[in-house]
Amino acid sequence: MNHQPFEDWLLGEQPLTSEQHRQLQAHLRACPACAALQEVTEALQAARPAAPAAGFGARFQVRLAAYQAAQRRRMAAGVLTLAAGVMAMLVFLLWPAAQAFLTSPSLSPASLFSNLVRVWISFQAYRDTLTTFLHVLNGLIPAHVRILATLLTLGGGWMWFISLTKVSRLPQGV
Amino acid sequence: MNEEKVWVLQARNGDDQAFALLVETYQTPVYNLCYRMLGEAEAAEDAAQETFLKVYQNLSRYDAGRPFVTWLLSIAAHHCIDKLRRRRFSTFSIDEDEETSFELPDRHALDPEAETARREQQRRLQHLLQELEPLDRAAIILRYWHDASEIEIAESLGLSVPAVKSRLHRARKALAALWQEQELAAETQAERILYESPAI
Repeated sequence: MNHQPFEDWLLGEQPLTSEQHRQLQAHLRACPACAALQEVTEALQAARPAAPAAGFGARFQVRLAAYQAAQRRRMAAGVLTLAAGVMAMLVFLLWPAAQAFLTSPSLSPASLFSNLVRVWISFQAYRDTLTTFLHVLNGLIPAHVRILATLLTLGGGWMWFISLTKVSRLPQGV
Repeated sequence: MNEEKVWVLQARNGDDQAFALLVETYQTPVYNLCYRMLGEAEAAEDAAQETFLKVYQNLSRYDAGRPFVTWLLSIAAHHCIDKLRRRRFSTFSIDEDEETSFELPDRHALDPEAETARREQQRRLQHLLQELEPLDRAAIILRYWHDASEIEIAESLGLSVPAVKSRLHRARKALAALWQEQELAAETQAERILYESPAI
């Protein structure tokens, strides 16, 4: 059976002239496929929304309160972890000075100064070692390989950033 | 500035009362979308609540130049599509808790018989909706239950306008084919009962 143009009329949902309407009705009586399309269209046009059970807002408030409490707990745990980390770092750095102070309190300012000098000298030594290492590496690796490696690193970083943005992005409706 | 934008602005500044007003205002559209998408009242309630929670967490990303309701429904639709994809291989029945969802009554309905027929028609439609592919289903729901234009559907679902048109046509034809199949099956069954012919 030829469904055109009746199927287009039904799918288009445009207003029909009285002649088109008459032709469509005649076709619908003879064509079960188009009659089903018409029935589905009518059912869709008569659709009404389903409502949630009473108290939806109150139930959401309970869920929101639980989420906010979890957020506060996570925040508190984060702050505590950070504080513990900072404390551990301070203890690690100040441990030699504290030891010197405990063994001979009178020498403590001198001991603190000598420790600071030691830390500074260590830092300079690390820096010099790294610089020498990079110089040696530059001599061993050809320039084009270094450029390629830099580009790959930059590309990888860019892809990582884009994927993070895509994953965390929520759709923006109209 | 309309009331809704004021509530959004207040909620962004940490006013939970303003957010509660948004929930009260939009609970039915969000729930309806989730119910039509997922086919179960309990799953729909859960999805609607999770949608509002996502909205609460991401209010700062909302573009105030666009209607809030379409942004909200877009989040709900994507949430349901994700849920459907996750449970693609698991089976469930939509008949179990049909009674727990409450359809808003038509205040103008005077004829109880017609209303019963309409309810039956809607029950069939809800059942057939579950046969559609999730994106097609979302497009149909946004178009017919939420009166969204093709442009709004396209932006909500991240599709082009021609793709939305094609999906709407395809989905309606698929629904019609299923509708016709059901009617044929019902007729065959009625004939079998009438002539008491044994089922093979």
